[in-house]
Parts: sequence; C-alpha cells; structure tokens
Amino acid sequence: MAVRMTRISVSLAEARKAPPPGLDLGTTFDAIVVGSGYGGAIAAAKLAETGRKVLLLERGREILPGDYPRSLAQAAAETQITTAEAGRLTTANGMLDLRIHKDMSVVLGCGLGGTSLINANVALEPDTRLFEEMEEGPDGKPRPVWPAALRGPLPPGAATMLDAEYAEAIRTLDSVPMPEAIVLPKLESLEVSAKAMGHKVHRMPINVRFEDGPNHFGNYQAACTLCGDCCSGCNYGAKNTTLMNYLPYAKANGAILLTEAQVHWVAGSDGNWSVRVASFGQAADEGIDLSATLVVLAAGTLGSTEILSRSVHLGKVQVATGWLGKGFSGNGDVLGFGFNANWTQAGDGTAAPIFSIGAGTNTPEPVTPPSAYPYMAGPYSPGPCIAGMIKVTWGEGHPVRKGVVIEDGVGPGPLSMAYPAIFFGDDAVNGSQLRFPDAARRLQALAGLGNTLLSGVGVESLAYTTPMAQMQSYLLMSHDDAAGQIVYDAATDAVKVEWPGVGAGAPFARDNALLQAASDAIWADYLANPMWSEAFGWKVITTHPIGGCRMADDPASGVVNSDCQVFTGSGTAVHDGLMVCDGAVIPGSLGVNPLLTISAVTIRAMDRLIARKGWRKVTGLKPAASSTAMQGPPMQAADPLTAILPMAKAGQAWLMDRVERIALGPAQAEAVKEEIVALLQGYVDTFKGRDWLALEAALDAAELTARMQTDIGPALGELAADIAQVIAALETGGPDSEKLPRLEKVLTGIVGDLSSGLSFTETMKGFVSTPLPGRGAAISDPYVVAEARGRAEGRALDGVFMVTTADMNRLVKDPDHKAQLSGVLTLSLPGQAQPEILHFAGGTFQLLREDGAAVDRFLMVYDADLPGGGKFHGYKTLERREGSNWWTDLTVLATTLTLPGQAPMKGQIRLGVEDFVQQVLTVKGEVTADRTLFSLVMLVLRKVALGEFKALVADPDFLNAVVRRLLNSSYAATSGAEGLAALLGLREMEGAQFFANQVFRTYGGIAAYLNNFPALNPTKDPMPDPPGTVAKTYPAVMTDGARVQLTRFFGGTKGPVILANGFGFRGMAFAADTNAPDPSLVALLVGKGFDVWIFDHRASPANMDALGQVNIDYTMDDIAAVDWPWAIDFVRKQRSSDGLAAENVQLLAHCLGGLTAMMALQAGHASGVRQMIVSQFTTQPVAGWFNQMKADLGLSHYIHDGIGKTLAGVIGNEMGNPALTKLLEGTPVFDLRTTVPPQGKPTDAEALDLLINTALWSVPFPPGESCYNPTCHRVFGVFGPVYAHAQLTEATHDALNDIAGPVATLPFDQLARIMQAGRALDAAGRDVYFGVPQRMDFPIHFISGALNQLVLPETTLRSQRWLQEALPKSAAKFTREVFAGYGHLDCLIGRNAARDVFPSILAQLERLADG
Amino acid sequence: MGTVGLTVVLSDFHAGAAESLLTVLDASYRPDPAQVSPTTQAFAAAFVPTIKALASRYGKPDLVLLGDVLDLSLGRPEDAARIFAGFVKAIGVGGLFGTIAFVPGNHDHALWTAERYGATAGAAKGPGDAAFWAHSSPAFKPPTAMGTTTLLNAILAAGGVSAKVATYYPNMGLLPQTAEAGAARRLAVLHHGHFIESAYSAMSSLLAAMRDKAVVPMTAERIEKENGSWIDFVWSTLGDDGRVGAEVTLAEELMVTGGASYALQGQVAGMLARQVQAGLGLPVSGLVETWTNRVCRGVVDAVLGSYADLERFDYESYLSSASVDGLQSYLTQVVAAQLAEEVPDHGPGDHLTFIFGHTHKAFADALVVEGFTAPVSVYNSGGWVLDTADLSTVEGAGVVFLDDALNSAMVQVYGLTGGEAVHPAQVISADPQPDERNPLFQAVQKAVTANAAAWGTFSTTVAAELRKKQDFYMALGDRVEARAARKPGVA
Repeated sequence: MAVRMTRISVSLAEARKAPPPGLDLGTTFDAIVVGSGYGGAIAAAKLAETGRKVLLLERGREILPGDYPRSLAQAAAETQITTAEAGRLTTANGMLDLRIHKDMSVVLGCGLGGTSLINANVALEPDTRLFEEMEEGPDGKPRPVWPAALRGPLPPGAATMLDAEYAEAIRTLDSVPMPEAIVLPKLESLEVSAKAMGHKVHRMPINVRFEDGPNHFGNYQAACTLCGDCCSGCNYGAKNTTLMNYLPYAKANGAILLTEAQVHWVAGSDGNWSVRVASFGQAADEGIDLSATLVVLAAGTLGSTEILSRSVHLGKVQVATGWLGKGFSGNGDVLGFGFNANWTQAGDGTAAPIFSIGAGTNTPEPVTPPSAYPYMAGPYSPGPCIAGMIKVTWGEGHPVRKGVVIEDGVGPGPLSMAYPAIFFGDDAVNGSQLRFPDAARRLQALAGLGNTLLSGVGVESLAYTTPMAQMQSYLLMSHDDAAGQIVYDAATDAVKVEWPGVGAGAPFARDNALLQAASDAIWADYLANPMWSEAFGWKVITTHPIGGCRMADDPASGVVNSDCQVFTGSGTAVHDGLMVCDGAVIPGSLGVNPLLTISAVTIRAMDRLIARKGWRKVTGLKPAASSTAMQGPPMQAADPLTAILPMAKAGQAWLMDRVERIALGPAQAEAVKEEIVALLQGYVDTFKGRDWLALEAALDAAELTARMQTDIGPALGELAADIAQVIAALETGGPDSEKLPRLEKVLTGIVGDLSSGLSFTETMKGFVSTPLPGRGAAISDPYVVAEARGRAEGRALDGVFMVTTADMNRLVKDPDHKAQLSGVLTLSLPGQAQPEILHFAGGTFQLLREDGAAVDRFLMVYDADLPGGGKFHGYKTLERREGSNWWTDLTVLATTLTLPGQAPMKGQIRLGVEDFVQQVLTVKGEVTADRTLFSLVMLVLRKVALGEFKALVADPDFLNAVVRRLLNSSYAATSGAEGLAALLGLREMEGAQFFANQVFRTYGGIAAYLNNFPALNPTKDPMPDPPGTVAKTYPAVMTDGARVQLTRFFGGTKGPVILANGFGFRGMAFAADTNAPDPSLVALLVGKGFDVWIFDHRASPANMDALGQVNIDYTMDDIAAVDWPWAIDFVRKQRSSDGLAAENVQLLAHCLGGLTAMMALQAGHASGVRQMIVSQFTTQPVAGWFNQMKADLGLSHYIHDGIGKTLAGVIGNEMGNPALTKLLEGTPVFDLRTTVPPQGKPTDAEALDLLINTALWSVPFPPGESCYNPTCHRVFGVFGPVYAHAQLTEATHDALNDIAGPVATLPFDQLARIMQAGRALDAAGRDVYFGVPQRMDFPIHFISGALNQLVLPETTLRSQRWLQEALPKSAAKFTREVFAGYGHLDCLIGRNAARDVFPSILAQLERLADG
Repeated sequence: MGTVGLTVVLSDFHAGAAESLLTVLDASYRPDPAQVSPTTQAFAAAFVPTIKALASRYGKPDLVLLGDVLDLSLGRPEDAARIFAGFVKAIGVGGLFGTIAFVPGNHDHALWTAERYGATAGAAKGPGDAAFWAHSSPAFKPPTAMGTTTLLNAILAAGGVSAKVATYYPNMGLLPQTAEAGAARRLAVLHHGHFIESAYSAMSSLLAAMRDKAVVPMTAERIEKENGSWIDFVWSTLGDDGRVGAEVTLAEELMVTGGASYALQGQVAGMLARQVQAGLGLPVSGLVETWTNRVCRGVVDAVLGSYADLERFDYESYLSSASVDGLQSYLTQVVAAQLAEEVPDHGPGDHLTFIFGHTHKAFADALVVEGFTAPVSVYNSGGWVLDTADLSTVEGAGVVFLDDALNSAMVQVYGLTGGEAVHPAQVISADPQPDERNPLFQAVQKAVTANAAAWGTFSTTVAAELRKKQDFYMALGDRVEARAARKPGVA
C-alpha cells in the first residue's frame, strides 16, 4: 500500500502574492514558530490545540513522500553545501544541508519536517543518571549540567523528571521497536559483533510504521517496505516524520504553515516580537516583518543559535550572551563501516550478505504485513536505517559518561552509484586484506569490484552485490565534552562550528577502536570515516548537533531556563514570549540519538507555558488529514538516458512521415515544404537584427529553390536512418552504464569525435621563501623547509587556478596533452602594505602523467609565464613513500615562483578540504560547440537553396557540429533535455574514475598489486637492436644438450667484448632502450666502435626451445666448464674468420655471469681473456640477509623437489586450493614473469600464478622500495634486491616481464652452498676453484653498487684482496669501483647508469680495447 | 657559555678505539698509544693555521668537545687517554683556545657518571656542588658556573693545557652576545646526539610500556636518569676489561664485515638449535636435527642478519627517518623543556641552531620542528672513525663554528661520498641567512682557502688512513670467521 498526500503548507512567496484563507500577514499572531522539526512541530501543535493563532515558518520546501530523491542526480539537487570559509556554495533549497567546518562538520535536514525527514528514527531515552551529571564550572568548582527542575528530586517511582514527557513522545510519535518477526541480516551481523564484545543487541523504539493504518494523530501511513532509505526521505509514508504527525495535526487545528520562509532575525522585547522573514535565498531586506506575542525558535541547533546570534549582532534583541553559541556537542557521533565482511566465516569462497545500502531507484520487495513475516531481507530491502543497538559500558556499574551505543545503519540508496568506488578505494588503500584467514575470498571479491568499476559496465548494481552487500554500517554515539562553539560570522552571515583539535582527542580514538572490534567480529575491514585521519587533520562529522542555547538555572551557565525561555541577561529574568525549543537547549551530549529528549523537553516547555498562561485545550480538535491510502506501487524513477528515447522516436517519426509524403508527389511535397518553412520561420524569428535579416533572406531563397523530391526527401530519410541507429542503441536493454558506451559508439560512427571539455577552479594557499643554497638536502625536503621559512617570515602565496581543456578524454588518456591554465597569484610579503597580484593566462596543466624517471610515481604539473617575465612552476606527486598519503599527495603543490630580478622562491601551497569541496562544485564537463546556432541554420538554408542539403546531412563534420550544439551543456540544461544532461553527467564520471584509478594504482595495496597494472600497460619491444646495427644471433647446443646463444652487434673492430647477464635475465637487457634518450650499455659500446657479443649462457631465459622450455637441472660448474669455454672460443673463431684480431677477448660479466666466468677461468676451463669486468657477484660472495636466510632454510631444495605429493595434497585440500597442491609438489622451473590480472574466474594455471603473486606480496623489500609490480615481487622473492628501485625508470620496471624469464630451480642448491661458504664450491660442495690464482693474472675490474643488498659490496672487495694478496706483483691489475646510490643490476640498466657508471666501464674497456 | 667571539665545535674522535683515525694500529691491529696518527698530524697542519687566521679577527676562540672524545667502550681507558693527549698536544689546544667545554657522549658517558658520583660524595666544591651534579646540568650557565671532568682535565694537562673543562650534560646552550636589530632572537643548543636514537632511551621506552604511556614531555633530567646506567653499561665501560681490538662486543662484531656477521649468526643459531632441541625434548633423528638447525638459522638470519644489513646500509644516508623523528622529538620535548626553564623569555619565533655529532656523518641542513616557527638549523659534527668495512658511505667529520651573534658555518673537513672517494674540505652552512650575508661563513671560507694546500694534504692522508682502517676490519672479520669456524660448504 502507498500513501497519497496533500500539501499542508504554502510558500512564503505564494502567501505574499495570494494569502491563503485565514492568513493575514499583517496581523499579530499569538505565536510564531520558527522551524518544523520535533521542537517546532510539537510547539505548533500544542499551541494550536489551545486555539492560539499559530504561524509556523520553515526555511525548507514541503516535499512529500514519493518526491524524495532516489538517484544520485536527484540527491545532488537536494543537497546544500556551506563551508565555514566560503559560506554557501549551492543555491538550491535542498533537503540535505551539509555544513563543512574545519574541525567538525554537521549534517542538517531542511524541509517541512526538519531533520525528522532525514534522521534514522531512533527514539531512545538517555541514561537516566545523565540528568545528575556535574561539570567543572568557570570557577573550577563542579556544578550541575542540567537545570534544577530537570534534576529532581524525583517523585517516587520516577526515573527522570521527564518521564511523562518521554512517554507522551513515544505515544505521539508512534515509536515502536521493529517487530521480532522481521529478520535482518544486518541485525544478525550486529548480534555477532555484540556477542564477540560480550553484549547483546537491543531493538529500540523507532519512529517507523510496520502496519498500514492511521497514526496517533489519525493520518494514514503505510507499512515500512524495508527499503532502508530513511535518511534520504521515506518515499513510502512509513516514517513517522513530523510531516506525517504533528504538523498536519497542527494544520488541521488552525495553524498556518509557511515554507521556503527563512527567518533572519527576531526583534523586540517582552510580548511584543517581530520576526524578519524572507523567501529562501533572498536577502533580509527583501523580506517582511511579522508580529507575534510569542516566538518559539525551533530552527535546530545551528538554526536557532544563528537567528539569536544574528539578532544580537544587529542589536535587534537583548539576551544573555555569555553562553550563546557555546557548549556545542556532536553527541559523540562516529560513523564507520565494516567492509567486505565474512561474518559467516565461510572458507568456501562464499560469504553471507549484510545489505546495508538503501534501495534508491530499485523497488524493494513488497512486504504485506503481518502475514509475510518472518521476513528475510533482499538486496533492496535492508530494513529500517537503524533497527538495533549494542550498549557498551552503559548503565549501572559504568560511569555514565563512558556509555556508548553502537547502532547498525543503512547508507542512503540515492548514493548507491557512488559507494562502490568510494569503498573500493578506501578499502584498497586503508583496509587490511590479510587480517583474516579468508584472504583469497576477500581479495577476489575486491578485485571483482575493482574490475567492474574500471570497466564502468554494470556499476548500478554493484552496491547490492559482493562485496558491497557484505558491508555493515555503524553509527556510534558516546559523550564528548561539549566544548565546541557555534560562531556567527558576519562576513558570510552564517554560523560555523569551531572546535580546534576535537577529532584528535577523546572519545574518537576509543570509539573507532570499539567499531574496529565490532567489525573484527564479523571478519570485516574496518573503514573509519576517511576524514578522520592524520592526513585530513582528524576531521569529524556529526548528525546530532546539540547545544549553543543550552538550558541552565541562570545566565552564568546557559541561554534559556529549564522552560526554554530565553534569559534577558538581567539576573535570572527571562523574556516573556521568546523561547528556544530544539537541540540547541540540550546542555551536553546525550550519548544516544537525541530526538526523543528534544521532543520531551519541548513537550514540557509547552505544557508549562500553557499552564502558566492558563490556556486550555479547545474542544473538537480535528485529526490530521493530509494523507490517505492509495492502491498500487509507488512511482519509480527511470534511467535518465531512457528519457532521450521518446525524443528520438518522435523525431524519427516526424522525419519518416515527411519523407513518405514527399515521395507521394509534388503536391504533397509542396505541403511538406510549407510545414518546414513554417517551422524554420519559427527558428529564424528567434533571432534579432542583422542576423534575422540575413536568415530571413536565406529562408526566402531556400523556399524558392528547394528541391523537395531529389534533395530534401532523401536528406530527411538519411537523418531518419541515423536516428534509427540511436534508437536501437537506446532500446537494447541494460542500465545506463551499458547504454552510454553503445550510444557513444553509434554517435561517433555517424558524426565522428564528440569528446567533451572540462574545467574547474582550484584554490590553494601556502607560503614561500627564498631557499638557501646547499640547505635542505641531507635530511629535509627543501620545499617543506622553504614553506616553514615563508610562514615564519610572513611570505604568503595564494593561488587560484583555472584549468580548462577542450578534450577531457585526451587529458586523461594522452600523457603529453596539456590543459590550459590561467589564474591569479597573490603574494603577500612582510613590510609590504599591498600584496602583489599576478594574473596569468596561457599556462599549462598536466594531469597525473607518469613520471618516467621513477617507478610508480605520477606528477600533476602546473606551469605558467607571469606578466613581466616571471614564472610559476608547481607539481604534485602521487607516490607511495614514507609518511605519504593520497590526499596530501593530491593537495600539496610544491611551488617555485620566479619573479624578474629576484631569486626564485620555493614553498608549498595546499588545497584545504573546504576549498576542495568548492573545487568539486566548479568541475564542469562541457561539449564545446564551435558553431553558433545562427551559422548552422544559415548553412542549412544555403545548402537547401543550392540543392545540396542531402550532401550536407551526409557530411559528418556538419552533423558533428549539430550534435555538439545539442550536447553543449548550456544548451542541454536550458532546453530541459534531462537525457542529454544525464549523458554529460555520465561522461564527467569518467574523469572522476581516472582519478580514483590513479589513486588505486598508487595506494591500492595488495589489490592494486594483484591487478598487475604493468601487464596492462601498452607494450613495445623494450630491447630493440641498437641504432646502426642488426643483431646476428648464433644459437648452439652444447655437448650436454644445453642450449646457449651469442648475439653479435658489430660496432667496429674494438674488443671483442662479451657481455653476460645473471641468472634468469636476458643478456639483451643490456640493450634495453627503456632509459631513452640515454643509451643502453650495448648502444654505447657499439657507438664507440666495439664488437659486442651478448652471451646468453644456459641460465638465461633467452634459450627457450620451440615449446618455451628453458634449460633445467644444470649446475654452476656446467656453465663454467662448458658454456664459457664455448663462448670465448666461438667469438675468437668468428673474429678470426672475419679477419679480425682474435687472440683474446674482453669480458663484462654480471652476477651469475661473473661468478661462472671467474670459476671457468680460475679452474682453467677457459682462457684467452685479456680483461674482465666483474659486476657484483664473484667467487667470494657475501650475501645479504635475505639470501642467507633462504640458503640456510634450504628453500631451493623444496622448491625443486617439493614437500612430497601426499603432504602437498593434504595441505592443498585443507586450504581448499588445488593450485597450492601443485605449488607444493615442487617444480624444476619457476617463471619470473606473470601477466595475469585477476579477471573473471581464473584457469588452473592463472590460479597458480595468482597464488604465487599473493604469496610474494609480502616479500621483504629494502625500506621504502615496495612496488606494485608482481613480476618485480617474483624477482625479489627469488633473488633478493636485484636493483634499487630509485635507479629504475618506469619503463625499465615495466619491462621486467620481457627482461626476466623462467629460471631452473636446481642450480639454486649450489648457489646456496656457495653463499653459505662465502666462496665458489662445486656442486658436490668441494673447494676446487682457488688452487691456481695465477690463471687470473690479467686486468680485472670489479664493480659493486654501494647499496647492493643482494650480495654486499664486500664481495668484490674480498675477491680484489684475494687476488692482490695471491699475486702481489700484479696487485695493480685488480681494481675496484663502488657506485654510490646503486644496488645490483641497476648499475648496468639504471636510469642514470649512462651518466654514473658507463663512463667508468667504457674507460676500462677502452684502455685495452685493441688488445 | 663564554663571551668570546668564536666557538669551535669538535666531536667523536673515539680516541683509543681501533677504528679511530686518531688511533695508530700496529701490525697486528692493536692500538699503539705512543704514536700520533698521520690524520692528527695532517689535521693539525691545516686546522691550526685556519683557526689562527680566524683568531686574528675574532680573538682566541672557545672550544666545545661534543662527546665521544674518548672511546671507553671500544678502547682501553689508558690508551684512550694517551692518544687523546697526543692529539691535544699536536694541535696545541692550550695556545689555540680559550675556554674549553665538554659535553659527554655515549662512549665517554662514564666520565659524567664518575663526576656525578664524586660530587655526591662531596668531592666537588664550588660551582659543582651536589645539587648541581644531578642527572643533568643546566645548559645556559657560563663555564665558570659549571663543574669539570677530572679525567679530561688530566688528559688536557698531559697535552699541555692548564684549563679545566666546563662540563655540560646532555645539552649545552649558547645565547648571542650581540644581536642584529630587528632580527629574530637566536639560540644554539649542543648535544652529543645519542638521545636522538631510540636505543639510548630504551629504558624510558620500557618504562613507558610498563606504565602504559610515555611521560610527555621528556626532560633532560628524566631521560638521563632513566637511561644513564644503561648507556654506561653498554657503550661506555666495556673497554675497561682490556680485550679491545681482538675481541669486541657482539653488536660490534656483527658490523665488522658481512662475512663475520654471517659467521656469528651461524654460531648464535647453533646455540639456539641446541637449546631448542634440548629444551623441547625433541626426538633424536637426523631429520629433526636438520630442520631445527635450518629453522633456527633462518630465524637468526631474519632477525640478526636483517638488523646488521639495516645498520650497514644506514651509513649510506645522513640520517635515517627514524633518527629524524628522534631528532624532532628530542627538540620538541627535551630541548623545548630546557629552554622554557632556563630561557624563560624564549618564544617559538626564536631561531634555534642545534649541533650534534654521534652519527659520524657530517651535514648541515634545516629542519621543520613542531614548536619552533622557523626551521631549526641543524649541524652534525660528524666523526673521526670508520664504522664498517665499507668505504661506500657518507661518513665524515666536521668542525662547526659559531660567532658571538650565533651566525654559524661548518668545515666538512673530509667526507666519504657514498662511493669510495673522499671529498676535500668544504665550507657549508645551515644558517638562516644566505652565505654571502653570513660574515662567519665568509671568514671561515677565507681561512680555509688560505690553507687550501694543507687541507688537500689532509684529504689525501685521510683517504689512505681510511683504507688502513678497512684493512683492519677485513682482518678482524677474518678472525671472527675463523673463530666461528665457518667452513666451506657447512651450513
């Protein structure tokens, strides 16, 4: 059943134009009530019952059930935003009123019904002991918080002095607990939490109807559909808002309700009051004064305090101001979420849903009480916003102020499109995926959510499926110290809450810890309010603002007395007829939802007023009658894009009708022509002046010469066919997110590129100073130091930046595309009276482009030339690093300001949260329309006149211009084309998605890592032949069957030099061009005239057979005894056959290449080497701890041989993971490459890949190095720190999948022994390589990276010393160099290796280049 | 402290320790206290004329010895005393400087303890009365009001200096004698630097853990009271047992060479494995033994090995982020509390210069510190030792200068560059004003340039001496490995 409502109010504007019967705005009312929440509605009804002439003024609109927002767009339209700094940012009179403040933000309701429209219905009495609470007075002595009249002494049997009033409120508001028969998963999940915390769940009374029928005041209400959207306005008439009970009752008994009536001030004194009221959004001086003998301010905690403060500020009224605005409390509100919960704790990959998102645009399953109960909730029926609570440390036995309640919650459905992205991002960044033993399930669920979000298809349903459906929302209430202040700011003419440091203090850390405990119990990632974090400055938000006009026994402690009468400021005297009745009077946090206490206090105040005045209830009071029952389901909103469909169909029908009639013959064609001319005349007549004249002439000419049958008819037919395609795209099913790409594809096919533009304004503030040379490098960031100096010296820099691009798509997708930047900088310098103001235009802005010079780093770059020759440069860095955070990354601009003739100033300027909100509101997506309507109409008319209309409509450029004109947001907005506006809105989301994606990529933790972004990057061959040469490859099969190869790049006769890489890495890595424009080592040597030979010994992944198999089951000895002799021999022979010097060769061998080359030479297997450069690993290695540990654990053995089939099977089975069994059975080869992002259900091989990637997530990286590249984790897992990340370009890091490959696992056994012993041993463990050092009597140069943590730099030092001691006469031949800041392989492939390392290598090789 | 125009700060000689550049080692790498090291000689040749050049402008400067002057943990006290006396003599400290002040460090902390106990017993008279010799001293009192350090007095006397060292602990403070009109008020605080590392306040952390919360703000008195004995025990008295050079502490051995630390890990793991097997009563079987050994080795590698690597590679950066945090908290707590007490008219707008040593990596920078509006100028006076076998670090030594207006500058007398090269002496500054407007920087620069040749010789000498220290480490490492019986192929 649904309800049909009639309006009970008129707007002030309507009333001023045409007063409704019984209203004379000039009269003196018995009472004016300001506000229509619990206080206002109760006051108005109570006064109306006594026959008083009551006028109620409400600033919001009267919005009836059925008209509350369901979609994101509707919710946005119903949202007001006011920031403390900038004042109001929105103009609409929406029902949701957000006040964004520096420390504590506040959510308010606005509409007839006040906050009762958007609250969560909970009708709870506080802990009765609260009324006896004491606080510290200004003299340091304890004093009671509540006035004497509410403290007691209590009558016998009473729990509080408000017992009767609480009972009355429970009765009139129809507060009942949700019936036991209704079973909600979110309540069951809350019970699991309660049990774990040693408590129970209580179902408390809530103001919701669970049966169809009349309420206490006789108004009809429908039963709750369990849609969950209590907080965005109940569209079903099941919520007991004051709009459903007290207000229509007051109206039925003579009260007049005016909406959109904003009260600015109250003026006057005892019994003689006037109220200045204006229409919402109008200035005060456009309003009127209304008179009354009684004014009841019930405009809410902020509203009433604002009206009183402004009235005092303007001198309109004299009241006690000592406490005005003070004693503000957020009621200890804490919002939090348990995300991706697995409270069923099922290990089988499933998890029971919790459902805590409201239905929004979806239809809740209808429930027909009471026969349908017990009821199991479905995705669109989560249940009332709050249905139960856990009382923690509450009641007797606990200090009253330690009392905490934890309630379940439901996120409003209209925001359902926004939640998945928000929670996905928050969970990826802040969640701990490995906290519970079901990591595989939660990661898969999270990855699934991420994939859908990134693809954008099917986002509508995401809020209701895994893992969003497994979310518990929590609202916690506790006690704060009510030390906030509501401050009236005359500049913005608004109030703001000031409460420095509130979020960093009690009770928020404890309360979040409690929610974390509740969340842990259901195996959920606890996500606190994201603003409650260090990066945001511990900002908090309350939905329960309290205080500002607190009640007290005297003005020394409050603003009103216990009867809600306002103190005059003279002793304890109160004004006659000026009252405050709402949350503002509550003197401290209640620790529970406050609506019932606000109601009780108002009931008491009104009853006592009526008693004081001797008024009596009149007889014959009428019931409320604004609502009746209505059959049929309630109206649902349609997808916005669907709204385009009827437009398109009508257009197509119109066109086809004309085409057919034209085809019938000249007479009909003539009639059609007349119709069209009439139509066009209408357009032409919308122009004025010369434009009109020109168009009129063109129309005449076109009419004269139009060729209806040969030109116009076919042209219209063509247009109709185009529109048919649009219709087809829209008619195919699916949600808007699926229709949009289809529609875009069709439109692009017909008219070409339709990319839209984007603009926004960003305001940042900070400080700059002239940095001192040589400072700020050793331990500090120079920008941070410069900012602090600037702050100390008073050098402030504020910037307003306007970013505009005609092509958002390119800005997002093309890293080189720059948007336009214009704006103004304000530089305030000490001793300068006027700040310097610098306007600039023509600057550029780059959106998060990859910083090629670093791994996982993105830059946002601002550049502008300033007037007079100055320059502005700024950049933001999105990068994980110690202490960094995505929010600070995206909001702190490292700034360099250079003014002519002055030293550059550096510093940082920052975007504050409030400015960010403002910025978001300035974001505009816009399709630019180059052609004016005039030019388009003119073009059409000319072409018609020439008989070329058919050709014109076949021209995509023309159609493009027309569609752009249509899509132009200014046109779409003014033409009322909701579908077009929606299309633009969806496109704007692409930009937001891009940001979210980048943040996820950078900060998304294991989820982002498993997504394997490097594998998704577009690839090109990272190892092309160096310029000017062509590779010549010589593969060979050794006598023992192993495959090896040599690749020759002939740059000249110098050398020959043989380059060999380490284990698992291709020799061609030395030719990678991923550091362009810097040359690779190979390119450098070739360029210098060397005959370069890349040697891929058997441990290189280059030696794959046709099936992709690499060599397995070999030893280091094999490489030393077989591969190296062959390679040296082959090169010499080839050189000889080329007629080149072939006596001996130069070697550059890295890591395992170096070890085995030294083994080959030390053992005498090979000779003919005149010079060798050994990189990092020698025959005397000193391993870093990670490799020591792996060697000591004997890991290589288990990787090769496994742990035995039986044990592997048991473990795999136990963990429900067949891939694990496979892994534990052992493998002769391990692939360092992985390209599998988790999409869809993985194959067995992909599952194994994912398992390995997951296991290697926590492989130890050196401090500050951890990256999100799964291949890199494999490399570090197998070998340890192969490079210092800081030395790699993003391109090199991304190319790991090409550079590295499969490695055999058996050789690790021997490697482990060698590392344990600290010297080369043969595979049997014998010390056979050091007997004849004389074999090494030729120049050997060792190189090490100073940061090599794989094998310490000491490795090369040991070998150098061994040789120097063994061959003292040749000591000078053995040289060594250590490179600062370098690790292992990065010495040869690092981004600056060409600058830092190669010159030294080249010098060494050049020294003996020609034998 | 004094009213003289120029203050010179030196620290971390670690005299007596084998790895000190002041200590000459014999063929078997034992300290030879009879010799004055080549580094000392080359330093004297460059430093003395540089100071004299400055003295002609500023008058005879004051000297501050900022801790770890003697190494009582890694060297015999008698060696330390003789070697430092040799240094004092070679420099001609007596003729070169006026007042001499001493701020003990961790390796000569025992001197502070000794004086404190002596004072308690009534041995100290005058300015150093019992109340005065509490756990910490005032920072901003003049030298005449301070107690002295007996052993150091004696060493200086042996080096020809008659002055008594005024002793401050843990902080010494300086106020400007002259100030520029309109400029921010300046202050300087000098501290050896050990308290910026958490290991030296470990007892405070332990107490905080037991109390369930830390005492905030930590004060100079409290941090010393809670940790002084611990510092003596671990860092300041071990040298007294005489087994120096050949045998050092486990922590030091871990750092000698990578090979030595691995050998030691093996020893520790072996002990652990035997205890585990015995303690748990595991069945005697080859498999159990293998696995117990492997797991114990793995655990020890992951704990001790990763610690040793972390420490080793820490020498690649000027200050680890943990130490930067420690520095911040020392300034916001200990220093701020002392300023509030002793310089009551100090405000957050004052400019602070903070000088410390201890880390052996000389640098100059500015740091944003909570509670101080302007960035704090920070100097590290570096050290005169090589801490590991690696020369690929940023270790080095500095001489910090302050004038009577508390303008500041430093001569980085030598420094490793992260590779193995040694950079020559250079003048740098963390002063809040540009170098060209900093009269002290200009004067020091001029004095160093005038003696460029001598400083050049000094760099070459240090480079060669560092190689010798590297030899010492390699030999010591070999000895540790041999003792740990690290045999090829035996896990």
